[in-house]
Formats: sequence, structure tokens, C-alpha cells
Amino acid sequence: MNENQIIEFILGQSDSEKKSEILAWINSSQENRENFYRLKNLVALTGKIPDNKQKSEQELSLLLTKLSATRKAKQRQFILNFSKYAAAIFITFLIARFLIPSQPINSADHSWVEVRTTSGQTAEMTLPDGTQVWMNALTQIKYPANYSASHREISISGEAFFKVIHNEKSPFLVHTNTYHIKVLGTSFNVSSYPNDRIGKTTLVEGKVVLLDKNNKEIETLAPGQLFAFNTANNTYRISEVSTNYYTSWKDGYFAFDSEKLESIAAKLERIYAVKINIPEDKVKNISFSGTIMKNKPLEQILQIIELTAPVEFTIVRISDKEDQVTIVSKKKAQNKY
Amino acid sequence: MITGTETDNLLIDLKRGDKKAFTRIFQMYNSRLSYFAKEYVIDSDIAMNMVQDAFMKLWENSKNLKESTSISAYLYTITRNNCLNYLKHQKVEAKYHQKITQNSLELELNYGALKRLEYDLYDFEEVQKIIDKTIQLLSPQCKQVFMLSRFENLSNVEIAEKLAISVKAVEANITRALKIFRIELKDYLSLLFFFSLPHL
Repeated sequence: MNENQIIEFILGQSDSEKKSEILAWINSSQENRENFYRLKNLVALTGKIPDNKQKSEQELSLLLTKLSATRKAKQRQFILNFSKYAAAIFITFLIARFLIPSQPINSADHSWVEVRTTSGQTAEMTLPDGTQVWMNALTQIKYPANYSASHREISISGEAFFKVIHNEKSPFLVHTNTYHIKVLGTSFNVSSYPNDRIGKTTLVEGKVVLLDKNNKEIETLAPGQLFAFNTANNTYRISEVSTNYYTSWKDGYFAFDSEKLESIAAKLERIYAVKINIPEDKVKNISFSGTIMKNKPLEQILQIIELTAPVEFTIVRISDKEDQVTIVSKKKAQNKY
Repeated sequence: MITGTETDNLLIDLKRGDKKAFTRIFQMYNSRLSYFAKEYVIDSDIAMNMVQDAFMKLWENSKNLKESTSISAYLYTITRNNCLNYLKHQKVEAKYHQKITQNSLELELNYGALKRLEYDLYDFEEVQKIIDKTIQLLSPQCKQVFMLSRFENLSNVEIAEKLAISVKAVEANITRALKIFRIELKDYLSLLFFFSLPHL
């Protein structure tokens, strides 16, 4: 029985004869039944009935009629003090504002403030002018102690997402090892890890100007564009991208679009503080599309990878703090994806 | 797309007894919940009753909802339980009358499937989020086919005609989309997932 036939059955597209055949198949083994259950639940969770305004309004008025009938019986008072909630929200906000600067801040010297994240850690902070910064794992951001709304510059090693407060008069400058970024007010993602050959800036909204090491203008980015700078030969390329793939990390998940396992592994290494070893080139070059929730244990993420590609992994503890993961191709190519 | 802040505000308004918020919640979730219920109970009128009952419970208990309540999780859970009770009753009845039909066999299977969906309240919200995100990840054609199939209820043949592609291509797109969804939703569709996928 192939998967399409089961899906058609679930979607009510099989004729009676086919139905009997499929029902018999499902009932012939526990395994078949489990397969059916999974597909059935998947279909049930991912659909919705066609939009039909008239029908939806009818159902709503039926519901409201039913409700008013029961409500008269048990008159209740739904008075809640809204200000209580407003206060709660405000207090949470204040606490967050106070807590954030207590993320590890080390003053490297008198004139710079330095904020670091370790592997597996992400942090969010607000700069003195109100600009928000989301820092990915193993990222270091420095800004001058006299940073202010009229003097805005930072330098970065690692990856961060910026939501810059708009200020016509004072540009916001980001320095990476190989190029600089000048913006007025916008949101964008910068990835500039020392071990990555390619440094990337992805613009989500607004406008950014890219400058070379000598502060000469190279390019201006439009929203949805990715600037990829090859540090090996100082060349760059601009492409149109779906920015979600480059910024999803800050929302706690990764979205991949045909991304090579090698590059996914580099990201996992930073988050989970592991070494990932992929000896075979053909395995390195397997590409993946999909989404991975970041708060999941590494093993689960590796299992998803194992499930979708003909590979298998092993985890070995190499020191107190570090695990080494090895991903190799499956010996028997029994998996058809 | 339903944003977190929007649902947070809706919950606050709902707790105050705001009917507009309730109406908005109905509009947000009714079509998904109805589809969900209909997948298991088959009859669309029965499905509607299961869902309406969930909305009524939401309204009647709104004052007592915790601030951390996820509205969608609340609605899905009650709908699920309503459907389970209905299917259980059908099962008993079929047994009593000793009438085994295609329909009763299917309902029995649906009962088994729905029983498998045993997650806690929080997870339903997660599932919805993952679905919303995952749809955006599909390639344009795959997304179009998937939405016509899943949200407009067109048959594969109808989709093929509409998009001027082959039925095989429609099937391939649906399978591809469901495969992606299956990976995304793996945690919520039982552990057996891991082991049985390659055999399909």
C-alpha cells in the first residue's frame, strides 16, 4: 500500500472498493495501524474547512443563541480589573530591563563595554539609545562606554540581529572584521564568526550601506537582500533571500532552505558546545530544508537528520565538557529519501 | 498568522466578558477546529456540535481562565475529548448492534488515531505555530497544491485541472508537503514515527 493511497483514503477520495482494500491493509498489522494513525492525525491537524463567510456567520449566530440561553440561567459577572493586568505587564517589562544588562558584561578596558555569549547561550540586550540586539551563541559585541543616541557604533564577532532605533542625525555603525555596515534605522542580521569563511549581512527592513575596510562605500542593500562577503579573497555577492532563514535563530528555531549539512553542523556546534565530525564529503554536501526547534536536545535534532537522510550518528564523550558527534553515511542504503 | 500578543490581548478581553473578543476567537479557530473534528467523526453536523460545545465551554469558563491559558489549546483539547466520547459511544453501539460497516470500521480507526494525540494543553499552540511556519517554508507550487487540498478541499484531480499539472505531480506535492510537516510535527505524532517512516 503506498502512502498516496492512504492519504487519498483519509481525504475521502477513494471509492468503496479501494476503501475496503485499505481498511483491510490497515487492520492487517499493528505497524500498518500506527502508520495510518500518524497520517490521519497529520491530516487532521494541518487542514481547515474552506472559507465560507455565510456558513461561518450562521454558525456564529447559532453559537451566540445557544450561549444567551444558558447565560440567562447563570448570570455571571465578568468584571475584571484591567489595570491589574496592565500593572503586571509593566512590572515584567521593568524587571526585564533591569536584568538584561546583568548578562555577562566585562569591561575590557576603560573605553569599551563588552558583552559575550557562550556556546549554547543567546541573549537579548538594549543599547543606551534603545536599539535592540539579539546575540546568538559565541558572540562578542563591543561598544564604546560613551555610546549614546548621537554616537552609535559597535563591533561584532559572531552573530546578532539588530533592530535599530531610527535617527536621521546619527548613523548606527557596525564593524565586523572585514567590512562595516552603516544604517539609520532598520532591522538586519549580521553573521561574522571568525571560523566562517563567509560573513553575511541580511536586511529585513529599511536600508543599510556597506563599507569596506577603508570606509569606502561598496553597496546599498534593499530589504530581502543578503550580502555575503568571502573573507578568503575579499569578494562579495548579493542575492535575494527569504530573510526568515537567516533570522529564525532569534525566535528559538532554525529554518533551513536546502542548506548543506556541513553548514548546519557548524551552527549546531555553536549552540550545543559539541564537535561535529563529518568525514565524508558526500555527507557534508547533503542538503536539508525544514525547521528545527532550538530548545530540543541535540540528540533529537540528530535523529531528525538521521530520519531524513541516509546517515547515522554516534556521540562520544571526549572530555568533561565536550561531546564529539560523528555523522557517517548509512551502510545499507535502505532509506529511500 | 496569529501572533502571540494578539492572543494575549484576546484572552484578557475574553476574561472581562468581551463578546467581540469571543467572536474574534471564533473566527480565528472555527474552520480549523471544524476540520479537525470532521476528520474523526466524519459527519460535519456532528463535528460542528463538538466544536460549538468547545466554544461554549470557553465562554462559560472564561472568567476562571488562567493568564497562561492557551486559547487554541483549550479549544482543541475540549474538541478532542468531545470527539473521543462520541466515537466511544459509536463503538459501543456498533458492537451492540453487531453491525460492522465500512463506516463503523473507519470510526473505530479514527478513535484509535485520536487517542494517540495525547498532548498537553501547551503543545496544541506549539503545533499551530509550527504549522503556520512550515507552510511558509514550502516551495510555491507545493504550498499552492497543499493549500488547495487541505484548506479548499479540492480533490487531486480538481487541483491538477486548476493548476494545469498532472495528477501525479499533485500527489507528489502533497506527499512532499506532508513529509515536511511530519518532520516538523514529529514530536507530536508519537514516537513510533522514528522507526516506521522509512517503510512507507
